[in-house]
Amino acid sequence: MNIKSCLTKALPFVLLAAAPGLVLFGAGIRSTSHDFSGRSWNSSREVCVVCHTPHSAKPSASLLWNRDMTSAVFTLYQSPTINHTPGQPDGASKLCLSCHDGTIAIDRFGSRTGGTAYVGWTNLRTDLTDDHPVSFVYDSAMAAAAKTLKDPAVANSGLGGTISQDMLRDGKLQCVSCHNPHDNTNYFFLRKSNAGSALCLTCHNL
Amino acid sequence: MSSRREVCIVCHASHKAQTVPGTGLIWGRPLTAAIFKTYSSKTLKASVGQPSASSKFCLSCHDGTIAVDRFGSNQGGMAFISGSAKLGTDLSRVHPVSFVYDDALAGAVKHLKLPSVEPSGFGSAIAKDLLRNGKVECVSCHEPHNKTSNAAMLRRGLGEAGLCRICHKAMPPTSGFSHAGKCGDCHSLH
Ligand code: HEC
Ligand code: HEC
Ligand code: HEC
Ligand code: HEC
Repeated sequence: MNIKSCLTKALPFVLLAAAPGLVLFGAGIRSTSHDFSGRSWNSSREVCVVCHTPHSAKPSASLLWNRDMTSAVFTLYQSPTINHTPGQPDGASKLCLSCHDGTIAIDRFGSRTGGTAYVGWTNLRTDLTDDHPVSFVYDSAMAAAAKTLKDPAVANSGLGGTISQDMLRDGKLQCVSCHNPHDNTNYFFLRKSNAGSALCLTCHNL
Repeated sequence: MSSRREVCIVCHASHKAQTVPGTGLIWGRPLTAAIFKTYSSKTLKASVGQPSASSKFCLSCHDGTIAVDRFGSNQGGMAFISGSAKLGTDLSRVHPVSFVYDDALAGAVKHLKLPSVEPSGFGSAIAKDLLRNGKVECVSCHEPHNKTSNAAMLRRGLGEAGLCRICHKAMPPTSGFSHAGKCGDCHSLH
């Protein structure tokens, strides 16, 4: 195997194991790649403001969202075995994609327009055919039809409650089903560790 | 091999997967570029082409051309499949795959069940449960996650009323031969 790619993949885990208290990988948003307080374009030096604002939030989203929403039309995931009807991203997924589709600058928040700083290696583009499907209802009926999915109303998420309670938003699977944008403890902002594919196996009964 | 100790990632990526139109599955591996020798026989009514993406997913390890440890950004290339799991690129002695199995074919062949209506035994009709884009593929017979715990990850065992008989009707006696018993007593699938 290519030693370099092996090392770059393993390194964060080595560090994590060696220094659990390391700020970079600790709980919370500070010093993660979603902490933009140190960026030259962020004169307020605040963390939350790039995404949320206590006042004058954008009317297009809840969560006191402080950013313009992407207006991209996305190409959606398709396969012969899915049970949902694919639809355009909505809810929290659209919030993520308003940076991660690469169409809206990170430094375009609040009353700012334009902007020059865009996501780099995390650009998922507007073609979502190569991404896990999002923005569809995941309920008991789907689980019964699919047979290889756990019943979200009953199955334990491992995060305190059921899948529905902890991972779905308005009954839908979204980016935030797998990601918690405020906490990088599990790397890649994952909601839980994916060692042994534990994240995937929370919902997939395989 | 998987330095992150994950299971799914060797085949499925969460993002930046292969885009295979009509097949999806956020496939995290390169697809084989091999040209396969496909199954043929004098009695075959189906038209069997080169493997479609669904079967290529399996063949991209099982033809032996692409290393198992090459996935995602991992350009590894040391662990190749071997032994009886390696089918190679000659599929002429393997049960045909990647052909349309519809009611017209069933009508023409006579001993095949109607896929649109006959139950698969897995909750719905053969076409819904076992075909992919209307075609027989490797996954029609195999469940790659070993949900079933059958030998060879088969969707159903090979007993007398087993896997073959999901699609094939009981065969009538031919030229004095009773045609009873397990199909596998005479036919080999690979
Ligand atoms: C990179 C963008 C981003 C930044 C920066 C950010 N958030 Fe969030 N926040 C989100 C998204 C997206 C959600 C929706 C999460 C969900 O549904 O799980 C959210 C949800 C919330 C919620 C409601 C749900 C919850 O998880 O409790 C609160 C409260 C919140 N954020 C507070 C904050 C505060 C305080 C900060 C600064 C310390 C902050 N956020 C920084 C993107 C961000
Ligand atoms: C304000 C813009 C913005 C929003 C909103 C945002 N992100 Fe990010 N995210 C970034 C930037 C910038 C990076 C750093 C990487 C880069 O520059 O490409 C990043 C990095 C990441 C990473 C990689 C983390 C790492 O360091 O390994 C993940 C995963 C991620 N974001 C997921 C999400 C998800 C899920 C949401 C929605 C809940 C979201 N992001 C919302 C801008 C954003
Ligand atoms: C089913 C779970 C799941 C969903 C849903 C999901 N992700 Fe991810 N995401 C992951 C995992 C797991 C990784 C780690 C990738 C890896 O292992 O290489 C990841 C990685 C990422 C990264 C890092 C860049 C990369 O290519 O790996 C970004 C950015 C990201 N996700 C954003 C999103 C956004 C935005 C959405 C919604 C459109 C989303 N994710 C939906 C599981 C998910
Ligand atoms: C929060 C629950 C949840 C998590 C976590 C999750 N999935 Fe999914 N996944 C689903 C649901 C629901 C579907 C859509 C099923 C449908 O429409 O039939 C799906 C669809 C898929 C599909 C497409 C299936 C098809 O038939 O085309 C693949 C592949 C997949 N997930 C892999 C993964 C992997 C790999 C992970 C871990 C990184 C993961 N999933 C994590 C719930 C989840």
